[in-house]
Amino acid sequence: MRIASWFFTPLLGFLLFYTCSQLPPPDSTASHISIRYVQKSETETGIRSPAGAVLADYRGFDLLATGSLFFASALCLFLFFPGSSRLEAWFPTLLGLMGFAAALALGFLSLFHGSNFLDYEALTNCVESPQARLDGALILTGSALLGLGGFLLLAIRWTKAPEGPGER
Amino acid sequence: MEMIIHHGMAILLCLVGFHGVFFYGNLAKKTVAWALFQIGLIVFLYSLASSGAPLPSVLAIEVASVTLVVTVLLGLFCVKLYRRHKTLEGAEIARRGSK
Amino acid sequence: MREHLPILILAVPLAGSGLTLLVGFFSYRLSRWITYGALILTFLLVWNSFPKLLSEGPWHYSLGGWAPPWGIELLVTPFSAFLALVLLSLALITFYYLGHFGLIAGLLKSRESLGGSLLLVLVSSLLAQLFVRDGFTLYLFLEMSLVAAVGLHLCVARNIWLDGFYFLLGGSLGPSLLLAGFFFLYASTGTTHLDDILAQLFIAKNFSMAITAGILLTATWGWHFFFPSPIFFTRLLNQTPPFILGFFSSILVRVAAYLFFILLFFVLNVPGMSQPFWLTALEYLLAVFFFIDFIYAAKQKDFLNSVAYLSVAQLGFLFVGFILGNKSALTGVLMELLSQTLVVAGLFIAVGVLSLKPTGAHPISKLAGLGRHDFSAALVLVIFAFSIVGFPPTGGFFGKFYIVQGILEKHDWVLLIAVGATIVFNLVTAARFTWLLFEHRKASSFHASIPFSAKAPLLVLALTVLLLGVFNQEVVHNFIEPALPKAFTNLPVPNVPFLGKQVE
Repeated sequence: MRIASWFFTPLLGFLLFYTCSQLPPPDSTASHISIRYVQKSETETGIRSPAGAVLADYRGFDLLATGSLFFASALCLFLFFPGSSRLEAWFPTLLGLMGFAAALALGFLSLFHGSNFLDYEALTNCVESPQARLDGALILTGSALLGLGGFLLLAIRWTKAPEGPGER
Repeated sequence: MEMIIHHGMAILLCLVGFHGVFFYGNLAKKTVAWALFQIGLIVFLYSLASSGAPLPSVLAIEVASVTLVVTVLLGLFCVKLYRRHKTLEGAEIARRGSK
Repeated sequence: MREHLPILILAVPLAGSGLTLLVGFFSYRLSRWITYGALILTFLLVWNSFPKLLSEGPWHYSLGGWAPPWGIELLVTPFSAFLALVLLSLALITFYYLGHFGLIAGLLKSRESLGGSLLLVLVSSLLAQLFVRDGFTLYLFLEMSLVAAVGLHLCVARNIWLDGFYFLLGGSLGPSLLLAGFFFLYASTGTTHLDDILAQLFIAKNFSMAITAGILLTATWGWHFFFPSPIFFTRLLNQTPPFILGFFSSILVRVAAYLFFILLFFVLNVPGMSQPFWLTALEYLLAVFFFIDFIYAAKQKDFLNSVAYLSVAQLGFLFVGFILGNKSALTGVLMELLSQTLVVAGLFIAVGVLSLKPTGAHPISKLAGLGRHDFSAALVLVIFAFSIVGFPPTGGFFGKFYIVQGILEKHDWVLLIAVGATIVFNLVTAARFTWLLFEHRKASSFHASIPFSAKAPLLVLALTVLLLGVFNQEVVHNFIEPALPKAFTNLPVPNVPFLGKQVE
């Protein structure tokens, strides 16, 4: 592997430097996509910051994918706990995970459906609500952050859990 | 040449990280090396964000959060292995495991 | 609700994953049925998308109502939906073995709900990879599939922490390279949407960027394509139940091959671009490198190691198709991809079913005389072996037939010799293997009787390999042709090749 690293790294280095030399100056990345994000995001999404609008609305699906990655990582973490500690960590974390998944789903649903899920009439009649996108974006971002926090808390909890019977 | 200087730091981080993943036998060092590769990509995105386009900074945030989660997960693997084998040398652990 | 089928196909397994976990706390049995339910419901949703796909062609779905390239697009083609059905069927079979043969698969009861949950996350991320048309989203789902796969490994295998670490680290290096490739493409085109990248590269005539990003995007799949080669994954092979290895080798690797096809022919295939000679030479070497694994496979004394080499070696046929890049070759690639997915999964499952133990050695010599003891099990193995050779009427035959047709159309004699030699070599090996299965030996070789419930999925897979061959015209016409690059869909055969070597 060490020999491989001396072979592959210069190769990658050459590739990266060569590709970089071919790049246009950064100003020219103000492309057809960025122009719309900068100029229309507030009117289209209700979110003042273009970056916020891209993160939570235009590309809200990425946030959902990131949240799902946190969920999968938390599931993996469960397997680190030995039998008895796993049960201790199990229920509160499970509830947390469920709440996180539900919030993530609701936030995405609100963006996806375009109608505010807090307003039952609007939701069932598929009425587009201007507030729905904003709410959805906020909930989605909040739940993704909570998911990240939950994962890190679980990780800290494991480091303090004793090694015990039932481990594989 | 101008672009190489502009993105030089990012590329160097990527290269150091890539080299480290293969070069080191120590699992913690491998983890740090992978994280360095990812940090290089984040730095690259931030240097693109200087143009005022919102997408690079959004992608940087998401890459950073994914990097954090996967690095923590890899780190926990290291802690687990260290608790069991009192070493983080991959070859040594593999040798003991195959006995 | 029907118009939202593409997102529902991804959301149902994800939602099912959470539910499986929750219910698993109260009842393992109920949680198992929820996993089955989520997989079957997703299967039905994919199935329901076919009337629209077959009558109207590919289904473009804008997530959150944002049109691409500003938002993220899902694109369901008849082929990707067909591959999704295969994926879901194999996930069902894998979970069936995990649940009903938990002891064989090495799965504890307390971990079954967690295993089901992780399997559903893995399925959802793989389905997303088939449909999503955005480079960055692809990265996220690729990373998610790796994390879920590591979780599944931890679930079913004992003392696998070191291998789990290497699996996650090695696997994650691939998505990192993918990300690097897409960031360079973004820096040069300003977009991450796959079709838009191609359009912008074409407008800017930025061929050098397409080639260098192409090399990075190719390197992305290095880890996937070598999984589960015994050279790199010796310990993992010995410790993971064959059912899980089969799912990963067939689905994780073949979905990666499909994504590689998408990246080469729908993102980087800039019309008018020519690639340097050294790159062409490298591609040929890579194809031959994969074919060499057939020799290693034949030399193995352990059935599992032999199957692992076969899984890697078969990718050589796909590479040959990518190098040729003409219509016949790409048709062959997609046909071969379907056939390989079924055959690889089937062979790994056969290893598990025939030895009925989670780990350890699986000597090939123990298969001697299997045909006299259990004819149907031996027949299944013969069908898989001859599909790898390319013997009619298996799916593998038609895959290789189209690839060879592509070679002849392009007059590429080097590849013809390589493919021809491989097929002859495999024919001899398969004949020897068949002889071993049906040879007359004393009862010392094979004793255990295989229950029908363990064999049934294998029989289904073998039958599907045959049906794929028998109905090859329908498969090509309805599913494969609409998935080919646009230049090929309304034919007749322009010669648009690997990374756009030459364009008519």
